[in-house]
Amino acid sequence: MSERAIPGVRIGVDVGGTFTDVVCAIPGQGHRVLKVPSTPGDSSRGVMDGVAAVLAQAEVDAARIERFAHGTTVATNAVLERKGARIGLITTEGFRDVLEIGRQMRSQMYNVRLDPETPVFLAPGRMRRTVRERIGSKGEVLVPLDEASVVEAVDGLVADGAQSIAVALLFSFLDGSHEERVRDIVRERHPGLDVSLSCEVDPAFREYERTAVTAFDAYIKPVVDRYLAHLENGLSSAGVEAPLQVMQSRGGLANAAVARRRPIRLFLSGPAAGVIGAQAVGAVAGVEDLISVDIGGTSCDIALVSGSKPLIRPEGTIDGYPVRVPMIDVNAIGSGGGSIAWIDGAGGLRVGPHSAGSDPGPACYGRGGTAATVTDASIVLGYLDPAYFAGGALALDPELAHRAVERTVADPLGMSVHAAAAGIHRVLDAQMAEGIRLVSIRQGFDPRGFALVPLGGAGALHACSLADELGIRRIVVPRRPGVLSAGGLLAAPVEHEMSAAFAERLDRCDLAAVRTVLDGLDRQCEALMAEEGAMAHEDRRVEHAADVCYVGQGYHLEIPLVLDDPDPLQRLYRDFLAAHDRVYGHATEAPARFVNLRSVHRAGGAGEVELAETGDSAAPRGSRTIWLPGREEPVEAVVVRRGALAAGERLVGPAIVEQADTTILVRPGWVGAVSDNALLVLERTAEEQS
Amino acid sequence: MPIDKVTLAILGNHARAAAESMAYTLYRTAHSTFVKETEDFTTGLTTPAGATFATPTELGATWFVCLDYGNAIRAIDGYEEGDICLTNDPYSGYVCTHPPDLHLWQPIFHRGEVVSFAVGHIHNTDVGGAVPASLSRTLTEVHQEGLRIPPMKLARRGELDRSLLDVMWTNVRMPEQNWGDLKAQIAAMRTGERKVHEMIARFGVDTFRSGVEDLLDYAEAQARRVVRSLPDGEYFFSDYIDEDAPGGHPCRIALRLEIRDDEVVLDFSGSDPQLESSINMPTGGDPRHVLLMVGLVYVLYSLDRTLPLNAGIARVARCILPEGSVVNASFPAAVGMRSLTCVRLQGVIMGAFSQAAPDRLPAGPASGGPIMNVNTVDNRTGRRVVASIDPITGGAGGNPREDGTDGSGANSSFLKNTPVEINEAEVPIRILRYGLARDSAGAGFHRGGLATELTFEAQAPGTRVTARNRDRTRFTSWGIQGGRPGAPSRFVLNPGTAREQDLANTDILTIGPGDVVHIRCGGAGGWGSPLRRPAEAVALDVARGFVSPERALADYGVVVRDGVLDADASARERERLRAEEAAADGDFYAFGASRIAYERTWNRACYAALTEVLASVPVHWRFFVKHRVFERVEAHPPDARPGDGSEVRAAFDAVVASYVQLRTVLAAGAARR
Repeated sequence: MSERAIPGVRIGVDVGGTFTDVVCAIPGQGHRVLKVPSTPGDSSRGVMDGVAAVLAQAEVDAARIERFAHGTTVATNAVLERKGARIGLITTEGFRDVLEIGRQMRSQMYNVRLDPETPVFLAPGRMRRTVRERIGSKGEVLVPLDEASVVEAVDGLVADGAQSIAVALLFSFLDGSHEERVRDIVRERHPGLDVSLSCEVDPAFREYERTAVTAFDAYIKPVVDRYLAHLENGLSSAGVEAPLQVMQSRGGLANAAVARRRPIRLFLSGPAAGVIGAQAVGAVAGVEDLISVDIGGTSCDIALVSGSKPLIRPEGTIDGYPVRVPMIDVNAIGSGGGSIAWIDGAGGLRVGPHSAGSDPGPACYGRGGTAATVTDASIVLGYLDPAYFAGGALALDPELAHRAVERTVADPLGMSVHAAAAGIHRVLDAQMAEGIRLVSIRQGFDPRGFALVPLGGAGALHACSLADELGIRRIVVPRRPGVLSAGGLLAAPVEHEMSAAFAERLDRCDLAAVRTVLDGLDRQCEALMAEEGAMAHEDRRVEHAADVCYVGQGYHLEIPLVLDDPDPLQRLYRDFLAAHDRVYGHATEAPARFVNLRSVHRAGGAGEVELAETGDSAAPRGSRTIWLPGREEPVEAVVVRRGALAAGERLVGPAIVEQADTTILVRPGWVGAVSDNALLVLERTAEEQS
Repeated sequence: MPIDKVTLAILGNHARAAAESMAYTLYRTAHSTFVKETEDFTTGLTTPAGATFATPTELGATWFVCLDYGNAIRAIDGYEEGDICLTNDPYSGYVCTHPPDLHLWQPIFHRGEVVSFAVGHIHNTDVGGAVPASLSRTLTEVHQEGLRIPPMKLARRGELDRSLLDVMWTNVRMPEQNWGDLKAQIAAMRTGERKVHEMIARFGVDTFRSGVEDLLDYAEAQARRVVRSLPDGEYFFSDYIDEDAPGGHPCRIALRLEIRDDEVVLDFSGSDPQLESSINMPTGGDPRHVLLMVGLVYVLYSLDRTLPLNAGIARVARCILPEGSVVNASFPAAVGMRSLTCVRLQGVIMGAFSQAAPDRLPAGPASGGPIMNVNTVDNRTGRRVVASIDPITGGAGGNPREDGTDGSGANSSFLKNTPVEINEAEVPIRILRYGLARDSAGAGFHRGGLATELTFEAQAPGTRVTARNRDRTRFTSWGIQGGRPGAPSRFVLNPGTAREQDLANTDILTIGPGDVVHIRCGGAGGWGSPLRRPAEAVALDVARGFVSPERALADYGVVVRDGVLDADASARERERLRAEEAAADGDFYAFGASRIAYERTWNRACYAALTEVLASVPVHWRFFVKHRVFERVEAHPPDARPGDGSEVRAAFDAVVASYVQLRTVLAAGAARR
């Protein structure tokens, strides 16, 4: 990287389903934010369009960009749209069907008619072949690798059209030599073919989980590789010299070259950026523990940040399939503004999981939708201004919303239209609150100690009721909840993580053995960091962790491993007991064992987020009649534009704050305060607690 | 007063989430492989009277949606805060249904009053008794099936009863494992208590109290609506367990299903007498006993996936369960393996309902695969190891929309398998193959799901294999509407060698180093004529290794040569088979060859006669008399049997004539009447 006289420009680009958001930080000029339409098919076009537009607007030369961070859905979409590579899967002889049988998880246990719940599409029957070899449960070679069988399997798969090979042999996490030899043979015979080894992608026991994640890696690798290469070329020809960085599912950035080798870490690239953005907003507001709730049209993404760190889960899912790779614990539930309200056979009111989507969309869009959605209920209740939805970009028809709620909910239940609309909100809010509660209790946290950070178009509309449901007392509304993901990209550190299976008991283990494994992992992380260029040297942090469980227990907890503690293993054990007590409600001093060891290296990440100018309190305030759940009579709410809020201003609920990307409902019992940097912090007042 | 529908929907969400939190706590803290990998446990919340109003829908076993803890709850005198009670005795109130299931319930108080119970069970891998893992078909009375604890307090005011624990851990083979699981269960109870307190804080105690009753009413109303969507009528279906005791005669489960408006009657009067093996069901004759409601829940939920899952569903049904029969066994009949019977019974219920909803329900589900335990010695350490290794399952029946799911599905879908990498790490055996079994599925327009199969090699002498729930080597699943039955299950020692031995329904086996065991579940039935299945789909199944070219030709009329579909030859072959199919009578059900052969002798008239004559003898004579009658009937040459039941009556008379003791018993009975 060349030295520059002028401080650099930083750009974050987050690609969503409808819009590509660009945030551009220019020293001395604050942040510029731009939304351009996404370009499905080749999303790099939208990225390039957005970058060109923002640079033109700001009159900045591309060469001044010193950092370019990107959140992409290309890995996720390859799976959702089944557009990954044709892969061949190589397994141990006798175990061809591991991917197909899975763990026999059935999410609808009481249904005798089910859909397959394993990702068979990755490698259907004929694309799975076996090789003669066997490693035993102690890592011993029971049957040496029969290379002739490898040649036969590989050539057969290639002849059947395999574009990428996944290798998942039994017990390879104890000895990867057979898998490595398979890779060598593939490379000798078919140079250029991508190979994913399970001993590298996910070196841990349970063959189905390891096979599935390795197959996913192979499935998306060529797609991600092609996309990132294409984008790098595009950026380079546009004069951008900064290296392309990509957000990974754990919330850290990686150089595109590294991301291309480890594509399995990109499934949560977009949502992770949003959580990092929420964490950064929390840092500005002085909040360390928060729950981010990103509510869009069809779904709601929930994540927890504790002690300024996003919670990481050891295993995530993609399209309902397990993907055993650590990722930010983002939980999606199928509730959003487009969720449809309906009456079940016994006359009960239900909301979702079906959604009206954007076409035809809610009834009030006037595109032929007749089902009552949450957005229609919001219109009926007076929360949304039909003339200022999306900043006036889309005029809504309140009459259609009214009729839909009346016909499909109010009439069948014999309720008034307002009561029906309030009922829709109550059911939806309860569902989302339950989702939040589940995420927090699963990790052993009490949501009452957390602040809520609403994101997405509809987050701020539901934030107060969710907080009321959960006993949360503080809500931090970012200046632009709709584009926080792109902002999060600028706040994120570079991060590389490596782990290895380590099946030793804590009380019989030699610390030197732990150090040896961690040293190896550290060296691998350092090698990855070396590819990151200048940013790798900023504020470098190294953390170690161990996955620990009781001897005989099936599931583990990730516990930080502090090597410079006087007695690291004793401390690890104590911390494990404390974590077990927090998550499961009990702990006994029974023997524990390691499952995996992990090393995480981070660099940079200022935790900075957009700081905006505040407005002028002299701007006009309006008012609107709104209906609130649980109240018979409507109330008058103050209505104000976000940009008009002045620093230090207090806003007492009921009030509505409108801005182009969202609408904020401040319910009675809540008071908003505008901070110097334009965050809106809502606090629940004690006297209104029910 | 009923609470409003919106609040009820929200309360229902909370209740389900509470049960799921309990399940989650239990699942993640449990110690035994059986719990942590196969999820044979439940959690739930009940009303103060014991009706289950909340169960998890994504974790745990599926059998206890309609469980009523009332009998167990009432067996305890007075509850105090912090009490936890337990039982595993199948004959104390019929809440627990076999000794390995340890049921817990904890009263949840609000201002000194019980407002709910947190409940749940874990299947313990071993609770002592005659055989490791406590279960074997060969056992004849419940006393052999392990330590039994009648309903009592495990904890009083939060203090565990150490003496009781001492007794328990002294009587079982792996006390540390049971203790680990029990602690997880207790943690789940505490979670349930906390969640109920949260619900009361949120809704108020009055809304909570009436709300949980409303949830039951709500499920009942939904269930009634589903039943009303079915045509009124009487439907008959029966099926068999291969053997009523090791090497015995078939055991028949017969159901006369009556649908009238929004209610159903399930009359099991034609089912076999209770058996001198452990596959009896302890129901106490309760017309809504949970074991009988399982099949009903499967059917109703499959017809309407919005059905709330709680005990309210059971109110639409009434069962007729003759005392002393396999579906209502009298003490002290052994019951450990009742799951074999329950699974068959669930299939019978599904089979009967499929006549009422032929285009909405699938063909027969797979079954007959075992849950396996291995008891062996680790050659490295010299230590004996006992562990569950895997449930060998099969798929779902083909259904009107698509093929049945492969590997598992329908009523076996709650059983999860254990990874090979855990099995081999915990049990010193070597697994040679675990996969889907070719040609196991019933052919059909929508074929059945394939069965799984497992092959492993023992490493040490004196390795004992327990293969519970072995069945279906003789009577297979059934196809419907032209679909074909699934393949039988298999259990073979040293396959493909000179020492090969067909183990049929054997469930305990001792083997040595180098011995190889192969085990395969039965396959599921197909839906619709296989001749309607597109030839390309059949060819794809051949390419995937699911169907052999031979079966593709025989069952589907599809010609695949060297992996290539011959469309012309297939069209000709299918034309020929269609003509044959048209000539056949086109029964609704397609049964396997063994059943067709068996029913040439044992048709419905003969079974009606058998039911009648056995009902006339005391319970403890029935199994004996049944066997003698079978011997006599089957001793006649086939062409000498009239097939109208008279041969059964004649055989019975001959049995009575040959046992003076029986004559005395019958005479005494007649005198009393």
